[in-house]
Amino acid sequence: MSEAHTHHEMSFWEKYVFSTDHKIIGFQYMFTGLFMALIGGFFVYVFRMQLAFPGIDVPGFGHVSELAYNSLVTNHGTIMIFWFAMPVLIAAFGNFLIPLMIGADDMVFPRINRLSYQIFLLSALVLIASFFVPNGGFGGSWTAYPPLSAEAQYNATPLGAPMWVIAVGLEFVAFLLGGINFITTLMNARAPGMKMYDIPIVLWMIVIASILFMCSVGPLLAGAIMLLFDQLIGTGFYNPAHGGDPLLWQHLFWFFGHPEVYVVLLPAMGIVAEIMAVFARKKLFGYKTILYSVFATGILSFVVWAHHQFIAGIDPRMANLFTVTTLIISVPIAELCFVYIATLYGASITFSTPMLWALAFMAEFLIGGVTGIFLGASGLDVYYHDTYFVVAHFHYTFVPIAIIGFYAGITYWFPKMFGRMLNEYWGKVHFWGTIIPFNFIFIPLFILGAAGQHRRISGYVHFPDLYTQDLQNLRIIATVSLIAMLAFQVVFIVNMVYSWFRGKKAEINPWKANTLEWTVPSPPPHGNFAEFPTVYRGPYEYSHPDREVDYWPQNEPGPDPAKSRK
Amino acid sequence: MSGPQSVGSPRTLTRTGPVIPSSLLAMVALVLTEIMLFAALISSFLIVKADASIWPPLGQPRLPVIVTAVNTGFLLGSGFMFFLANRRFRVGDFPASRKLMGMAVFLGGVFVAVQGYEWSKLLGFGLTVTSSIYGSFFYLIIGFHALHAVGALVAMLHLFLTFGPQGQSASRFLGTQVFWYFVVGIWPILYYLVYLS
Amino acid sequence: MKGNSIIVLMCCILLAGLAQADACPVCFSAKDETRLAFYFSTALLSILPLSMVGGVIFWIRTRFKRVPPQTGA
Repeated sequence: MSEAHTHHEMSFWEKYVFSTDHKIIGFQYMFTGLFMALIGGFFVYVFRMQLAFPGIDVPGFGHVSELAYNSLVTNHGTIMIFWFAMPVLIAAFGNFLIPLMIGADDMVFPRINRLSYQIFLLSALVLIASFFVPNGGFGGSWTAYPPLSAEAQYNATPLGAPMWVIAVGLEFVAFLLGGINFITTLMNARAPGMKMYDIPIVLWMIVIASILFMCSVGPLLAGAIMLLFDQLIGTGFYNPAHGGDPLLWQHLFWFFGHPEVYVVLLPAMGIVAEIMAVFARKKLFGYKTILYSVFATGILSFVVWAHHQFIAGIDPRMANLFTVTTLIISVPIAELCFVYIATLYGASITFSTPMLWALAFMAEFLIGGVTGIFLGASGLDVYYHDTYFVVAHFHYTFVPIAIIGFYAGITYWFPKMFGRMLNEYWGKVHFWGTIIPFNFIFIPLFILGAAGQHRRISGYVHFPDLYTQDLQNLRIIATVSLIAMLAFQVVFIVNMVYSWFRGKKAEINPWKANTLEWTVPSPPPHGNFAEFPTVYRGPYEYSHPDREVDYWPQNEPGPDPAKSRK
Repeated sequence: MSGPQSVGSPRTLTRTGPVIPSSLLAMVALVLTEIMLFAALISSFLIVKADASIWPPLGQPRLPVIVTAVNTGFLLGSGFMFFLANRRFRVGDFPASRKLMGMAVFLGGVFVAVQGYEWSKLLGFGLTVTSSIYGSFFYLIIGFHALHAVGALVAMLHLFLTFGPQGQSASRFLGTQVFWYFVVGIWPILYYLVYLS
Repeated sequence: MKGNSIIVLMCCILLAGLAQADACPVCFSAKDETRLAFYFSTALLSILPLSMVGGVIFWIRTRFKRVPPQTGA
């Protein structure tokens, strides 16, 4: 990052591959994440076909052996959470938005930012490589409980398992570096005048998510190192025969694993907040309430992790405690939902594509959240644990977070990212084509789970109680809906590629929004701001009675309505 | 310094005049993560120790408590030297600061060297990573600490060698210092848990 | 009133005794030390991040208060 950069023409490599520009790094994260999502999507297609039509040769894959099934399920989960949700929601949007929204030219540590992406790319390559080693990729589920994950004789993947652990470890190091950058940048690089309560909610959410991630990732890294030692050197950290303790891993994993849910949830909720305020043309209801609810969520997220282990052999007295904290954490999340609904109340809503996604997020996430309360009760969880009810529950949270949240964000910021408008008509086709099949996939899974169908089994032919015609029909409905949903993603890809090159040119501020990224050209040039902005007010002053236009950009000189009201 | 000409130069980013320098904030964030990592290792160690009927297991060598106590003194002394170096640095007395830095690096180096010697002895006595869960945890926790110490020493040595008469980049000095305090500060806890209890 | 407090006291004693009598069929280790070690590490890992982040935020706040507000903004 020398000043010479701006004076000479940058080569392709300098500009797009080894760039330190936060926008390019954001795109790198986004496209790597989307590529990984395609792999994860292919995996789910293969194993859903096996479940609906046991034993068939899946078109494009062939016969699904038990070993292959385990590997597909494991890596579907791993990829979708660690290589799609995290890079796209936090790293891609965080990198792209933070400097633009706070009026800075780049991250505080651009080279650390570049290193972060390079480590992430390496981790993705290691994971992909693990699919092609003898015996294939790791198949001990994405939670990797020992002894299944620690002993090659149990998991049957002597190479795949350590590679999986190494890939996950590298990925966390990458996000650690990125998270440090996000926190420091938001803290130290804000435009003059941008006070604590003038920061757009989405940035707060991304940074709080980064803090949660950094505080929770240490134990998992420690656990991963111990697991790797067990796999490669033959230590016995998780082996009771050597004096170790397999339960240890579950604690270390879920100590990270549960805050991780909030790590990906918060950025998605932030994206939704931005979109709702813009398309409702109303001031975001209860900015500080949102912020404090998020703080409360962050604090509580550290004391709920053992609800994943209710039947794993933990002390029942401890389980009671964790039931209570788990139910309490739904309070701030519910508060967030109510506040968002209050923003919509009485607004004249524009049902554009981003707004549809934002509303769908609220509706679908609500189902995921409410079913979570069933599972948080330790008594009920004894029955539901490891059934498809759990699968349906967390897909009703993660699909809104990762997929709907991503589509909301990309359809909203696409004009800024690429300088062209997405096609609205095809955007809506894609929206309905995704949302309707999505519900048809997972509502049958709730029913199957309540009927007692266990997870991580490659077929139910040998379970007479589960292999009835009724239940098999539900499985087929889910699989057919999945294929429909996957097929509709082609619409999005075509729309995106076409609009990128042929779409209508985007203006500087097509949505008439207030935040600073809409004051620079679309797409923003290297260095973002020709003249660094000064901030005069909060980001959500829409439909202010004193103004002729219904929006009030943050950098426009004038009074601060928050102050004059007092 | 502002304007498109200085694009990307980190100095333009701190227009509001940060109250806490970026390098310090970043290092504090990193140290936070590291503390959590060590907390997890300590927790795992305590749980496994509580599980065991005899600790340390039979047939495993005892750890050199006295030598390591002296060695702990070297490490703490190194941290103190860095502290003094910082005080000189702040008032602009760079030659004295550089000398104290050198002392800090030297004492830290002694610590790592004695550790390495101890390890070679212990390996000879049959305490290896796989000899028992006791050995696994010893090399994991103490080895992880040693790794951090070596990394920090390399950074400190580099700081020492590039110390000019005009001093040193204050942000680098601050960042390295915070990390070294972390390495020094966590050691007595590890010593107490692994060697003494 | 007095009868009430006696009942409350009785209930408390009963509940305290209950914890002792509570069987733990799924606890893998019968030893009390293991249980306490799990309690301790659960408490450590839960409280440590919160107190550290709280401490850093407090430190940042005091630093901000010491420095006079920036001009020009």
